[in-house]
Amino acid sequence: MKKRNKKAIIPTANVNEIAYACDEVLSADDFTWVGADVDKSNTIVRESVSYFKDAMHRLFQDKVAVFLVVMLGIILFCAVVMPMISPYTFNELHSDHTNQGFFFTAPDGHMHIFGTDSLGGDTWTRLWHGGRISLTIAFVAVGINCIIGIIYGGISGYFGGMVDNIMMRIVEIIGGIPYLLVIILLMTIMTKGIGTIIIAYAMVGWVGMARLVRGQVIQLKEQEFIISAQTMGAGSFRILLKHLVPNTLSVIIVNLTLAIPSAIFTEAYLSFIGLGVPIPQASWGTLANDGITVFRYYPEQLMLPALLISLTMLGFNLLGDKLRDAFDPKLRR
Amino acid sequence: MKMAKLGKLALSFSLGLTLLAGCGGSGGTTSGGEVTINLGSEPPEMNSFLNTDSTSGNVLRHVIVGLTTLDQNDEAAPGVAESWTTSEDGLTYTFKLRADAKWNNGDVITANDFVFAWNQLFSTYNGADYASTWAVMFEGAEELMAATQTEEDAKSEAGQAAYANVGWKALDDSTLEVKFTGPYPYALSVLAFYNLAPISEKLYNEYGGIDYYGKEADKMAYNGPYTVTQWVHEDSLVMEKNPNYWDADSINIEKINCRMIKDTGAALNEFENGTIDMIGLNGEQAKDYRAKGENVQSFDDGSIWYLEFNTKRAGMNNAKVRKALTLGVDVEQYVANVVLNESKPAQSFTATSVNGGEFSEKVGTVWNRSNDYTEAKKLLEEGLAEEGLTLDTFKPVLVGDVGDTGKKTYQFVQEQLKKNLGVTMEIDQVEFKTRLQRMSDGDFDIVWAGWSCDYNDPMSYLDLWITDGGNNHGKWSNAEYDALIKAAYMEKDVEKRTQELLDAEKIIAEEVPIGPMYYRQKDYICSDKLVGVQRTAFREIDLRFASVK
Repeated sequence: MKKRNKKAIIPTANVNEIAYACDEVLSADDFTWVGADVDKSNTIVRESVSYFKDAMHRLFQDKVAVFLVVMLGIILFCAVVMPMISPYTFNELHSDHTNQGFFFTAPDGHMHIFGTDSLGGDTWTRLWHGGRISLTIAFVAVGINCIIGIIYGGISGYFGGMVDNIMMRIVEIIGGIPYLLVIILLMTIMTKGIGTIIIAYAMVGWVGMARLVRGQVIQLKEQEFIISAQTMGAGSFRILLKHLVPNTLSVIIVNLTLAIPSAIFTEAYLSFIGLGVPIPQASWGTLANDGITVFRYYPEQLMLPALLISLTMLGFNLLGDKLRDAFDPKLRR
Repeated sequence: MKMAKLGKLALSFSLGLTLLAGCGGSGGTTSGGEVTINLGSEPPEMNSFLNTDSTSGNVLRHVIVGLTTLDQNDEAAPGVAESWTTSEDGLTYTFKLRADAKWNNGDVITANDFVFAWNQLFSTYNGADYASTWAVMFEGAEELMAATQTEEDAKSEAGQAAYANVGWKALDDSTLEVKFTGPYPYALSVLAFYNLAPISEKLYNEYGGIDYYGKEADKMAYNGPYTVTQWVHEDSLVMEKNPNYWDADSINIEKINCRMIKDTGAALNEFENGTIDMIGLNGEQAKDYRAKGENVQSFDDGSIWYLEFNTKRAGMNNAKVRKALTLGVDVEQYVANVVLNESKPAQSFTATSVNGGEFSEKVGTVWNRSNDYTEAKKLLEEGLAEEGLTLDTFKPVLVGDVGDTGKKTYQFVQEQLKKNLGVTMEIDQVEFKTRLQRMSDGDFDIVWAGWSCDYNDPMSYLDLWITDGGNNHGKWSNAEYDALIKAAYMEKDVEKRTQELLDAEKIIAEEVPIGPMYYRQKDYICSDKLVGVQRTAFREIDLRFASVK
């Protein structure tokens, strides 16, 4: 290969020599046509990266984003593991030592790392059990929103016309009712529980996702690759699922990340106004609600759940921002 | 944690041990001045004959006076009635009204004002919730209630006849005759209750009748020591001294501002800033203030809290199960660690504030609670086996109110039953009104409920559980118990009557239609400026004898 390349370099004299040899007349015979260097032009200089991979790569180069991912990972890990390895259960009450502070050790030697609440429940265990409930509600509710939103928005955007018109009017009607009002009304007629909160939130929360996906689909469906797919005879649903939805994923992921903190907050808010999970269950919202009654005397009982709610919300919000930057082709260097 | 009925009547027999829960002595005080207290919430019903709740009662106590009024010892003292005579059989009372008793517009209060008010109270179409409670006592009242289901009924011939046959009559402008159905020892105290206060027919119609009367400060007539001069709904209410009150000289404080702050933390902040002179305290606040050596006051509000069992539900229909559930809760620990004040574990159903605790003393301790739950557990298993149930299939649901105090309580009870007896109980927290509705509909397994006396007699508690009683939500029925209560209604002999009531209390202890938990004490604190406030089971807030230092 190298040999051929060498041969191809003509004239053999270097540039200075050419300048020096200017007096001599160069004729067309001095040059030979070697054609395009197919091999070189096909050489893969950098590793091929997909759009998604590229975005992730850029995300993880950002120290803040890495920190957020680690922090959220720790919170998630604790919420899953801590209730399992704790020597106490979340609904176990130690009535003879209530409202104790950090690292309280009972006379018989057992210790409560974060103390106990006003009924003698172990704050550490309840905090992570609360995290489990709050995060479960957030993830499941947002997941359901996402699925409904993608299907609804995709159909509406792709088919357009009358279908789009009717489907979007329905969205507007649902979106026009203050969603907290809908949730509160639903909560009063359904029995209390995690399932109810999820259903209540999912019933109104998919509207934003549906709008977003519809907008993306309308934009994408006029593009050539869709036309080519249609020309080749792909069915509507194949086009939707194989071509359109994957192309809206970046927008969906960003939106998802931003929807999770809003779901956590909604859950906390509902619990706070007494529409949350039934006792003896605890979520961060109900823990904060319990804590506020004794805030003046035992401020940590409000501050601990509030801190976790804030960290989780901040984490997801910032991560959403970072993801949006990472996915934005305009910011690509 | 509100009561089934919040109304509280004060009463007749003296409270042997008067709870003069005053804030310090009353020496060296002068009249005049202005104080601010926290009422806690908006008074829901200021129309005296419709009133059932204690918040409105706390305002009405200062602005309305009935035939009698409760004095500093919670005994009936002359109110609008100057004096009275009683017939030999103890059934008929003849009241002589004061000539100087006037409405705040200057009109003299006549016997007809009482007749009008009572006719309204017992006219069923007006919807006075307490009418049926009082109707038992007055001749012709139950017949009147039956004949006035609708306004058309009331206007019919039968309705008019019922109005003519009632046991209360104005003999002349200043004389009122009242016929009772029995020789009730607490009759005079009942007459101090707001429901039986006078209403001027002329002013009532002038202010717009039932839809408007008592809805605004200027849509109501006052005859008490104070008049309401300003009422900003859900925010504040101002009472100022009534110059037309016959005993105005004895009233010291010129102006009382009532605030309606629901959040105890916010109220505490205002108290510490000096903008409120008296507030109620929750457990933690009282504990903290006591530790700091502040002068925290407490009073027995006359309420008992208990588990009411629906005896129509499987499992709950067995007395052994009910008893085991009651004994399975460590009430002492509950009071010490959840309630956090001087409240006491219940020894019997009738609360200790009645008759100054005399009756409770005679009943003694019918609930022998211990920390050993093996017996309770055995009892529960026996009872469940009799009903063909096991601990796995017996899953009662406890219905309670929304709110923090309630939540703590239910969580505690739930954990206790799980730990001590192995019972899995679910909790359903609902709005206060929903709870009352579900109790009336019998739609519950167990309810955490409370009852406060309407008048100073054990009967105010014990007649709840007669068969088909309006407040017997658990539908418990016991012929022997019914007979004892009915006999006690008509019994003139005090000893015999007491014995009948004691026997009734014993039946409750054996059959356990309800599981008594605790008698509530409430804590509050006054600023140094406000002295002489009285708070008792029958007069929750009374500033008539208070003054500003």
